[in-house]
Amino acid sequence: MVPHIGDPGRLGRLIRSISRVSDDVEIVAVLGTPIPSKIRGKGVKVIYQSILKYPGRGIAMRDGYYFSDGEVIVYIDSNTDRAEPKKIGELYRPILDGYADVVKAGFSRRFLQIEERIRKTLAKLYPGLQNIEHPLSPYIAAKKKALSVVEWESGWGADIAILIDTHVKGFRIAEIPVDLKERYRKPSQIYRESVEEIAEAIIKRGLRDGRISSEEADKIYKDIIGKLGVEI
Amino acid sequence: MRHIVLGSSHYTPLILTAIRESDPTGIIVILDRSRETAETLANMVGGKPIDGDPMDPRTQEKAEMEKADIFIASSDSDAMNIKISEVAKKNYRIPLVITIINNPANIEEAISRGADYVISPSSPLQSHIKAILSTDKWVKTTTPEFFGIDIYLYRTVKTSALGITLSQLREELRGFEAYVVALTKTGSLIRDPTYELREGDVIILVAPRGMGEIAVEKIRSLISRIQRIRAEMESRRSIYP
Repeated sequence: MVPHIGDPGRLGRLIRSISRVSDDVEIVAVLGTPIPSKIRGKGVKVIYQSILKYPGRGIAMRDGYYFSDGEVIVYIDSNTDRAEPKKIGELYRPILDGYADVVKAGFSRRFLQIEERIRKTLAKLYPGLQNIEHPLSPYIAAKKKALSVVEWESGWGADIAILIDTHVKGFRIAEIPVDLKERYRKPSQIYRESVEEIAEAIIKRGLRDGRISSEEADKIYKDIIGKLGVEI
Repeated sequence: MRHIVLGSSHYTPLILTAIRESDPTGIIVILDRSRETAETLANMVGGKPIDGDPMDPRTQEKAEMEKADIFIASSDSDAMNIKISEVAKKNYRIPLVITIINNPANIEEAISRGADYVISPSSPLQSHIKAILSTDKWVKTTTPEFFGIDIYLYRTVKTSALGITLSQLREELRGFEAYVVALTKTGSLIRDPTYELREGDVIILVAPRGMGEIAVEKIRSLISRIQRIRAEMESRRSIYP
């Protein structure tokens, strides 16, 4: 599944890689913009993102989940440089082997700068997730059943929402040291709004699950956002 | 009648009101993942709330999908609307299935999956914007798929309007599956075929679905022929004053 906007060339390469993972793989491309028909012709199911807002990562992920017929869903980020079939296979292997319901891999280059403070906050609110090294990683494999409990966030909060909601409902989370990006790039510019979405997704769940009070929520928000050097 | 409305998009309250107005005694079942949302929407129209994962057969059973006469998928996920409409049609054989599509790019997929009607409320947006911004371009309006027609609009500008009559346009389309009518700038129907179109008048072209573009092309070609002739006449006039 490829939440995707932009470069159809990269999408074509990704699809070629994914189609080599296994004979019974189903590829769902969730698109923000139209793609060339030759890509559509490769047995790829195409659905356009329902609501064309940016960031719409969560909208695209949810659309992909609904549109897929598979029992195990693997999210492959559209920015992936080169997804080797073997690595994609490793991503969902723990589910097939029966010791996880949700698997995370890689790390988010986009949010590398805030990863540590998100990790600490998460460990405080949800101790069961304290061993997750990269909670914001964009590569996820999950049983469809696990995703059915997710209260979807529309934007950048989607990945953390999947992690927390599935954990709270008792699904087993695993993390594997597989990175699907070949090259390391400098972290991209971080936008305050994007971080706010992640912070809000965590706080909303903390309040929902009775892990924090409103006062603590304010403090957590400031802890996450305040260190970006932007005045609140 | 027994209606099932799935989801709680921006359009759902409007759909519920429309159903209640057209079927005051009908049963309306509102199906949503959230109990609170289902109840709130149901209270608006005296409906019955059902909560749960819509794709789960147990939820479908609770909603008694097999008894429904009409099913409307109106969540804010096109993927969900398309998939559940397919289930409603193929598994439960609901006589009338309507799929709401938020992104017009998904219309074809929804049709191919078996919906009886596909409504894309945001589709008119593009044609409205084009109609407002385009003075000398043909604008294809959005009509529901089931009408099976193409409607194109053209607001005449000075250069295209001069001297062209309705009868010339109709003559140009002779033998084509298309027909034109015209309105004056003030909105009156032009009945006189010899009336010469003026700036601001509107030409309306109606054709069976898929035939409109060819007819529009014929009229474009007529207009450019006339413009060319007019330009030649103008240039002769300037050579031989």
